[in-house]
Amino acid sequence: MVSPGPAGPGPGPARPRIEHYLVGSSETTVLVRVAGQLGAEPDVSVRVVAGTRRQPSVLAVAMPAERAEQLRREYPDQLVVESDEPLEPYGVRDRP
Amino acid sequence: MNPWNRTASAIGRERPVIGAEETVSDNDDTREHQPQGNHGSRRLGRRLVQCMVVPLSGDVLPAGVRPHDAESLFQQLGNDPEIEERKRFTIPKAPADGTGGVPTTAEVAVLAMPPHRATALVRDPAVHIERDHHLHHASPSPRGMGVEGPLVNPGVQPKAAPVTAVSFRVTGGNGVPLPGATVVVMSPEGNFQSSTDPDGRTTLNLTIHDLTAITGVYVKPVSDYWEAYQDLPALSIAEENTVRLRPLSDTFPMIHERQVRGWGLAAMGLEQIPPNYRGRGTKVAIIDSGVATGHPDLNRRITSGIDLVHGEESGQWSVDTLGHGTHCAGMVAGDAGNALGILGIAPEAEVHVCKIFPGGRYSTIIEALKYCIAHQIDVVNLSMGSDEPSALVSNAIEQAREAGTACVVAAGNSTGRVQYPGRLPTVLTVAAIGKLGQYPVDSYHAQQVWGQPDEQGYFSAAFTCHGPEVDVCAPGVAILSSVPERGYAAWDGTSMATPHVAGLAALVLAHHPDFRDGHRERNARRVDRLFEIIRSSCTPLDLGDPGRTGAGIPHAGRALALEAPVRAVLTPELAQLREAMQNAGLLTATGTTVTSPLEEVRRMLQAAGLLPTT
Repeated sequence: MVSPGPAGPGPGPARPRIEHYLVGSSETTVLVRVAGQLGAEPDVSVRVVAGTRRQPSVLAVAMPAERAEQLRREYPDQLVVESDEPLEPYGVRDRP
Repeated sequence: MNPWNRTASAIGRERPVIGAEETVSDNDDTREHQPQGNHGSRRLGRRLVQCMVVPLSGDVLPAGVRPHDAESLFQQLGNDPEIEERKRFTIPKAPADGTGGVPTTAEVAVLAMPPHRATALVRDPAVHIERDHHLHHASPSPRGMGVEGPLVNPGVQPKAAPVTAVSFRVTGGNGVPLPGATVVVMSPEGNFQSSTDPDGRTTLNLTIHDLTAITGVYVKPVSDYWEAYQDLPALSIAEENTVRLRPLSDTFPMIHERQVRGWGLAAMGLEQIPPNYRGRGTKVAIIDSGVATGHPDLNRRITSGIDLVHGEESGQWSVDTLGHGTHCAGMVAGDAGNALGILGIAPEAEVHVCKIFPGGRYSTIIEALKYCIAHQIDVVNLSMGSDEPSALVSNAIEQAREAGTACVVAAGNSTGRVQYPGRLPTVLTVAAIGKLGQYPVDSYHAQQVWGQPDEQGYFSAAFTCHGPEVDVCAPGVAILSSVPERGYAAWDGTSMATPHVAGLAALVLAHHPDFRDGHRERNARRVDRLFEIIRSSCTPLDLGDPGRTGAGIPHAGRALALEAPVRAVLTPELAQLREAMQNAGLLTATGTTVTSPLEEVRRMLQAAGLLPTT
């Protein structure tokens, strides 16, 4: 399950819906290459959440679902691409 | 058993009324229980319940029970000033012998009555009574304010429901207005929610056809008062509906002037440990919504943190707009040596704040754990989660474990299976229990009783997630702790149960002899030993489902090696299972110290290689 991205602009060509993903790999070189590749794309934003910029191990990436699927196909055994799920605090706040 | 009466017990679930006097209502439920209020305002009470009543014929009654004559029964009930007859009709009734003979008819009366009268009729074996429930569409209900949910084809959209404005005023016990209180009106069509203004007032525009479809009103104050709940509320449209909340100080006198202890500390034996056991030398991280460090009970105690919402450099980890992190932090480390307010479990532990709410995602857990590893945090409190598993979060938690950082995780509040990351074997997963008598009976806390409480009054919380992944249970209903900026609140949740165990974990690391000698080195073995000590300290609870309680409720004295471990009785079924596993060569015949049946099953399965050892 993925969360909805921000609403698109008004009239005009429809922009792809942006969703949140985690992209991880045990192969730093692959992840560095992917981070560089994604960072240059207009509809994608990349943040390193584990490791360092030079040696990342997990990226948080906002991108269209089609791009995520493409990454899975492109690196089937080298990348883990999964939904960056929203979290829920487990105090019952404004219930029910 | 009388088949007519199988649904009747639902009516017997009476809830206490907020207020007690009876008056006349202007809404379509005509009469209700409520005390009088000021002119133009009245106290919210419970409305009458509408029921269908059928006198049973002699052929379905047990021997010796005389049937009622329908006309005289209905006349008798109709003459009762508490009961109002709304309608009568007949229904076909098949012969009781199942021969398929000529069907007869049964008389049905639709009556509105106070719940206690319905309960009394349930006890009459010659009468069938059931709630005349409201019907609602089978399509998915909109959630929240009624503006979410799928769009329907406008061509088949029903005529828009009229908007009914219902006004509320929320006050304290002495009539003082309570601003910022959340008022939730619940109906099968969706919930409506608003917050009170500085005068304690709010008006909700309800887009529902019938006020009698409203199933409940829930009011939650910002702080310092008990929340309130009224099921089947008698709402007025013409007048303001007043809800008066009880001050917390009714239950915890002078909370702002002297130190009080929540029931959870006594339940875990924390009141019996030496006063110098305060967790000094350990580091606990609260990964949550930030912590209001200016709170009198937390002041001077918390000086380190990271804000992963606005950016590492923002410094806003000490701002908590949700209050959730402050509540958790108070339970772990409340007490700034000020002898007032609440007392936490490990008040001298060094608390680090990792702010990820609002807007927290799995990526922020990973970032927060990176901070915890870098700062050599001993115990992480994770009162949160999601339904979806994540290999990358799992990996981050494993890295933390290998670095000697123990993650204590809430099971979740969605009543179903344990949530993620609580499902991981590398964390200690905590479910929630409550205790009778620890909250007002007209609060929503009273709705959280699941199953049959035990002889001490402990019960499993209705909201708690459950399953074989639950390691332990801890107090999580009506838990008193700190909230921003200087207040206190009693909240429910596995979020509230988890800091009880995280705080105890800090005490164990600081004071248990094992961590002064063999397990000083920060590694996975240290974390595993910590979890083993906590699990084996538990007092088993029989609350109807071992998956809701795990090994039981941790006991501080045993966890700190101040008391001998408990030896529970090995049940005959468990002894048979052990013998069968030994006979099958899955288990060697070694003696174990049994702490609880569930813990023994876990050990046996782990020894047989059928369950991973963490």
